Amino acid sequence: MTGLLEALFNGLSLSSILILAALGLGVTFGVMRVINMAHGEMMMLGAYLGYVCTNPYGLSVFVSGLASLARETAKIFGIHWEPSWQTSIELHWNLYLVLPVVFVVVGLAGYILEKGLIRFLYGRPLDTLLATWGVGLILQQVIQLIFSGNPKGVGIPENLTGQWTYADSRFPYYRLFIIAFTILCLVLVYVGFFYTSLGLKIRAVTQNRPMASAMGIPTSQVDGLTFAFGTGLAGVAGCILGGMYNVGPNMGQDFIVEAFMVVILGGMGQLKGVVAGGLMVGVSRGIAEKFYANALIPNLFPKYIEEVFSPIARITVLALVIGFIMVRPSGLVRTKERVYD
Amino acid sequence: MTEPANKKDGANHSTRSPALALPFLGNVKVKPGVLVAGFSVVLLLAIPQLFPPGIDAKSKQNWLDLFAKFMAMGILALSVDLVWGYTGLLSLGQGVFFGIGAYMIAYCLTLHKAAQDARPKMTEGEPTTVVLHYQGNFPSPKTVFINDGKYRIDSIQFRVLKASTPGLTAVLTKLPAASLDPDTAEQIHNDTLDLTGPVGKVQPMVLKGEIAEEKILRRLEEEGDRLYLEVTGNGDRGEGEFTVVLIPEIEEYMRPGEVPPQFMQYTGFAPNDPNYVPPPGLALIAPLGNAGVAVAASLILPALIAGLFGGVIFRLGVKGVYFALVTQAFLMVVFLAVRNQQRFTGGVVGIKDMSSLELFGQSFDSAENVRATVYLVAAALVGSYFICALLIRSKFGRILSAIQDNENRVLALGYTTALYKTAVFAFAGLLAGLAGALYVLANHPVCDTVYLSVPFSIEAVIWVAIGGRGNLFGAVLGALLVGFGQYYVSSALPEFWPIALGLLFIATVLFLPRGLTPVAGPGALLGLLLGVFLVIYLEKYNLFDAVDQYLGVGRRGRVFVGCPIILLSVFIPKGLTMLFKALMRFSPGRAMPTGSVSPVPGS
Repeated sequence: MTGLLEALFNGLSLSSILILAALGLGVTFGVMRVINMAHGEMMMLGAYLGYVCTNPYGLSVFVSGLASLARETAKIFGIHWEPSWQTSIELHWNLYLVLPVVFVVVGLAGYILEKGLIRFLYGRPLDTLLATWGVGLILQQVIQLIFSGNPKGVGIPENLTGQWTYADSRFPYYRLFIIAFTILCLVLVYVGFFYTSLGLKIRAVTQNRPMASAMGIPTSQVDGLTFAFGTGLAGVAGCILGGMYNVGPNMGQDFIVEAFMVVILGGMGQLKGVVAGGLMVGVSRGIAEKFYANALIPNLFPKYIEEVFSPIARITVLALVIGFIMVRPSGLVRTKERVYD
Repeated sequence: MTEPANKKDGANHSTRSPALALPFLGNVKVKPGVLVAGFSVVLLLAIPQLFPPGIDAKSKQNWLDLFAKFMAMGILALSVDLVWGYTGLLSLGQGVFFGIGAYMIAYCLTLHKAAQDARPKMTEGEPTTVVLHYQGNFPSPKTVFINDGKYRIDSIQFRVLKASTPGLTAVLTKLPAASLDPDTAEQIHNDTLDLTGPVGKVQPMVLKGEIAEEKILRRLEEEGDRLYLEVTGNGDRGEGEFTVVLIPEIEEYMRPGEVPPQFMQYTGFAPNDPNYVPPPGLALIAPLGNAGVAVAASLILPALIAGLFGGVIFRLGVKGVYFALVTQAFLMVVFLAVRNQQRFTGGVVGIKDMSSLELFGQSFDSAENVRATVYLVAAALVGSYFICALLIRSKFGRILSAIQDNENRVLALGYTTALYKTAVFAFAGLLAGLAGALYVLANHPVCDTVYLSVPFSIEAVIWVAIGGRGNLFGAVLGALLVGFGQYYVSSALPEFWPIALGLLFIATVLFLPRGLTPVAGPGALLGLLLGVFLVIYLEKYNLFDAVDQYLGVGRRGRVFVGCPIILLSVFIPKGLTMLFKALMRFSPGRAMPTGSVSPVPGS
């Protein structure tokens, strides 16, 4: 019973991260019809930004990494250039402070991506997939060159390091924080979408672009801001994830497939769909992990349970999701639309 | 669900290439596509002959390897093109079928390798007795037994028939066939034999064999090993009888499928150990020990899985973006499963220990017989190309194009589109499986989870996008172009290749939405092959080294000279044609009516 409670809790915290990642994707994919394969890399950028801001040596690692990147790039063109960029500034910020910064900075990266690439590709969803995959490749490699593939971590505040024990179940504070933060984000997104003028404009543009344009809404501005909003959320998700898992150049790749599955499972373009999908995937994965660990080898390899059963649980849940989508392609929350081509 | 991309995608393949009248063939009209295709076939088959004379063997083998690999990738590109370019179904999971084909062949080859490396299994036959009789003054030493098989001496008994003079002793020795010098013979029993009566006494001999070295003495392994009986001393030797009990040792060579391959050998394999339990995966893959079964499995299994998967997914109406992402998730599931189940798949390390494939009495190997492999892959590529070409020109192919343009109308006309989509998806699965099987052969047999990773399948899609979707030639062109480009960039600047590839993705989507082929004309593949050979010749005559020396740091000659040659060579035929046309137009006195001779259509 205690195990079940813990499994539910772990599943819930995994759901929270998936919801955060899928929320941004739900906006760009569900609303704008852009398959942003670089979404995972936006998470990765957020995580690295979190590392740079929270780790005392983060900034100096970043600056010297930039110098070595510049040196290597110059070398290709036969230029001998030894930039001696260095800094001793220790940022060492608190995670609470870093999260808004990550949202703004990664959102800005998303805005640039939209203005520089994606706006040329509207109406060609499969092409956006390929182009953004290319962007993802470049980002991964640039980060790899700057930070060298060594795993990094986002520093979490002192008061989030402990855990709360209740009836033999452990609830790490950080996971509790993730759940709370996700709920906060959901409320903010809800309020932003339905009670602000920008939200109104976004909804207007996505429902009927020509009509919104005719009403004087600057659609291309709205597109850019919507995309920036989605990627900003991804950055925040990545930054939070970095407090729990290793931060590496390929960390986004691990999440992107599942995040897409969550969006499709929930139903396109629906806030509550993303929440439902994320909860379903995350919680069922937590329970599946527990189930496999209990049913197959109880107490035999307690130390390895996480490593051994986590992939099997992941496979099971992904396969179930695929099965569900095959049976019901419109997802959990059906959007009413009348389209015939 | 509206899919505006589809409408744009389906524009190219409906344009018919005009027939070309060849000057010497009278009224016979040949389509330029067929002409170029035929020429490329000849060139592909002639590749091993085209290398510069005097090129060193290692570098030639390296290039042939690359040709074989990239041509296998070309088959994968054909399969992607068939489902994406012609039917409008972007499959991001072709790697699943490629991987299945690759793993089937890899299982077969690693089973063969394991069987070759395994020690033969020993079984003991029924004991046979050799009775050696002696009497009187035979010359000593005397050969009492010459080995004719493999035996283990179980026991020797001596029976006195007529007592000898006291003081005589007998020694039984073994002499290996390799050196028949009696001085090197070694005694095989511990005690010396007392030949004095009483008559009828049966005396067992205590054989050596307590320690490992001595156990060898008790074996008659080589044909011609001899047992010697030596009686020393003077006097009457009497009469006696040796009864040697020999247990034949039958060596059984392990057949593929009986020995667990290297990646499964965590249990420790000993063929002669009665307590040996084969690993659980062995029974599963044992039938693949037969090369024919493995080849069939690498083709049929992917087709079957693709057919089942497609059958369900198309019947339920999943299409467009959903299809792409669901296939990707499917790929992810397979990838995670294969990486997780190390006992059955080799896990992250994969399968590395393989022998060469024996098929039709010919061995296909990337190390020793690379030429045969190149021909095999080239033949498979050309065969697949023509089958695909026939397929898309048939009624079936027209329906596929119609599905891409507007599926609902095709449905309204009474065609079960799901069935057509399933069929083409299954066939594409078969092609991908073939590509995987060939790639493993060409890739110094190595098979791991890279083929099942998400990036690999997306790369396969980008080959087609670069070469030109909805164009079989373009698919092959894209695979070869990216392959050689990657080889060239990453041999000089490995860490910058992903960035170059990313830029290529973006540039293709932005600037060449229909790919290279419509721009470069149908001769592009020919041009690429020319470019590659140009680079090979330049390398042979050390031009790159000269550039490197001139420029100073690093191996940039390859990047600044080699890469542009390879990347721009696709435009050579088109450029030559345009030059030819321009010359014709401006040559005085010979007014050619423009348009009558146009080797390159579709420009």
